[in-house]
Amino acid sequence: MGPDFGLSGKLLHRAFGQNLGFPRGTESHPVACIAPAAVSGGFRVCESHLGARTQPPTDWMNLSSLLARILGPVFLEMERQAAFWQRIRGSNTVPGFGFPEAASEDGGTADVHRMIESFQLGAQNQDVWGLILPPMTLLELRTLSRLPPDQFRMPDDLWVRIVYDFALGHRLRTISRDHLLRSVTPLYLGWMASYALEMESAGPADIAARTERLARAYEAGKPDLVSRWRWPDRFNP
Amino acid sequence: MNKMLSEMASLLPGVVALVAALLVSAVVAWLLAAILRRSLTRVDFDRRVSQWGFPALAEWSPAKSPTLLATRTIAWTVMLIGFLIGISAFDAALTSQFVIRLFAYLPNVLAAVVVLAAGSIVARFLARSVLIGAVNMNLQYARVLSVKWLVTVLAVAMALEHLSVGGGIIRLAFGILFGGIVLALALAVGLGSKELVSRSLDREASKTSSQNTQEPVGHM
Repeated sequence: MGPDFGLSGKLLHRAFGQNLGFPRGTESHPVACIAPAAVSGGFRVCESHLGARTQPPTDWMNLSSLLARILGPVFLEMERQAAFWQRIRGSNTVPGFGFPEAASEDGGTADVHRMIESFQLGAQNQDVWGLILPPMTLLELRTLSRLPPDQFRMPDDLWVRIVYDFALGHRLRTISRDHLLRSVTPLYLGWMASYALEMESAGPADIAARTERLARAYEAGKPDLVSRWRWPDRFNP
Repeated sequence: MNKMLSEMASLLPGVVALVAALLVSAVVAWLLAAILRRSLTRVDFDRRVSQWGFPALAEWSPAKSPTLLATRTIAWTVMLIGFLIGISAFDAALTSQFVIRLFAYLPNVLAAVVVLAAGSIVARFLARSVLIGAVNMNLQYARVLSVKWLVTVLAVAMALEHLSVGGGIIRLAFGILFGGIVLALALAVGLGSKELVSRSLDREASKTSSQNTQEPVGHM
């Protein structure tokens, strides 16, 4: 989901018309609503490769606010469209236009050490995570935090379980939603560091295959999510 | 002897009234406890108490059940009220004054309970907010920022003030304790992070000037 997009008037009307259903005071990132509205409304979706992009420097101070503004509407949309996405089985390939370009060799390096430090600090202060994530996941995160940077890899199934657990916690209001969304930041940085280290010297084909593998992991974890969504008292630890 | 017997006889109606009041209050207490137990069990009160931020309540409760604690509290409160009503039937000036003063003190007790509960909720919320913010800002001493204990100490002092317990000693002790905690935190943060702040500012300044604008990782 890139920041550049084109949409029909019908989709625009649907996406922003649905925002009127958000509770008063909910901050909504406009980009976060478009993809769910398009998919649930039966609109045709495609992706276009527009060439290499220049990314702005990471604003570390406001990363948690940005994540909260994007994840919040996504989780709310999950709640609203639960009847729709729970019926879907499998996935279809989205038509693509253009060709992906290889990243330039002078693309700079991601500051993975800072990301790993943030993740390790979050793992040391697991008070909030313990209210949302099951004990097994917490144990895996603690083990992961003790690994040296060269071995730091977050498995796809762990990341998928974390995302789904937070979506469930958001729906069940386990803790304040704002606290829940902001506490994702160290986990996101841990996953990002793992991804960056793994794909450091990967080409476009490897990146596409890696993304596909992650998408398959989300699909594989979906039945468990559906069960816990429908019967939270029975399945949630 | 006759005087003693007549004094005892004059107390008999009061005793009968006291026993009757205790019996009625026992029946009412049993009914209320049964209704409350059913209602709280239906809404899964024990689990919700932990979620609302009062896990310690389960530890203090008999059989680790806040539901049992609530029902027993209500039952004994009703019994106590019945006992006080029965006591007032003796029509003795001293007991009447005692009952009046006790009922006049009840609002202070209720206010203190409300202040403690609100203080506990606020302390937990603030502690969580500060912890999440500090971790997201990569502050290594996130745990040291003991906002929870500051708010809890404040709530306990306010509750004791409502209960009129301790008087000036409590105020003085609170002032010394609270002031000491704040001073210690300020010194720890100010002196301990002096070099850290300086290094952090130097690092940010050198990063900004030499950072490549093309960063391969984009956070949406």
